[in-house]
Amino acid sequence: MSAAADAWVEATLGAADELAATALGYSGARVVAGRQAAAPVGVLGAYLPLIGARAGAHVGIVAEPGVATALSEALLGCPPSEEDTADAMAEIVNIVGGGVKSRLVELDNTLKLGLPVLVEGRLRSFARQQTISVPIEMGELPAWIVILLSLEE
Amino acid sequence: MNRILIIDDSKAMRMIVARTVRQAGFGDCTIIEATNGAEGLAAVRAQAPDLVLCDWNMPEMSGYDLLEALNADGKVPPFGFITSEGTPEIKIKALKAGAAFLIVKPFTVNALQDAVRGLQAA
Repeated sequence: MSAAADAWVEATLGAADELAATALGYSGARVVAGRQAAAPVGVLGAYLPLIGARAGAHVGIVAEPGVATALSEALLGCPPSEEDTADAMAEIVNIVGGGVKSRLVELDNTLKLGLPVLVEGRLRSFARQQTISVPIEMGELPAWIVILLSLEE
Repeated sequence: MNRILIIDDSKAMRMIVARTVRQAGFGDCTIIEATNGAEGLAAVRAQAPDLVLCDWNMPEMSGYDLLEALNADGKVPPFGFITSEGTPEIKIKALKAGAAFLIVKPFTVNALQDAVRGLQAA
């Protein structure tokens, strides 16, 4: 795995840990298994593009639907509707994306946050993209961070 | 402080900010909501809020563009950003445009409390 990919993974893990320990009220986020080269299936979550002059990726936080509901409830402080869950997952990845941007200023200080998109099911990538999934626990809830990197031409 | 305008395209975030405003001791205030900068601009002009809490990245009109539009109006209410954008460049840009503070998400009740009280003391 390239140094840039490592930097994206570490930055996303750091931002997810900070989110879990503050906005979600958990003890933090921790890695529970090794990196995988495919996105998980049957999950709900949101992805955010971070695009700069020298680097770019989509960063995602996904979980099984019941866990996504629980994460959303932790963020909102009340039981969420289906629409609230979608919105909360988008906000979760938006907050994580901001943390990733701050952590990657040395890699690329021109990174800009895009608007989040919701994905239900499985993310499909193109051949020119690299998918990195990392199983994590937020508090005790299983989730994944997923990073979709564009491979250099 | 009577009216607080919360501007964010995310309903979830508007709920979180409103809850935090109440927890920070401003539960008596009327909360007004807008979903982007353009709606926020109309709300400021029509309802003259005592405080605006605004996201940075939003479709249609960003929080920064809203602040610039208010500067052009010559009437900027007390204005703070609550955003995922926490780089020093963004903070400087926000403060130069007239924002009183910029709080980076994820944020705490204390962070909002300190920012608003600092504004009231100024």
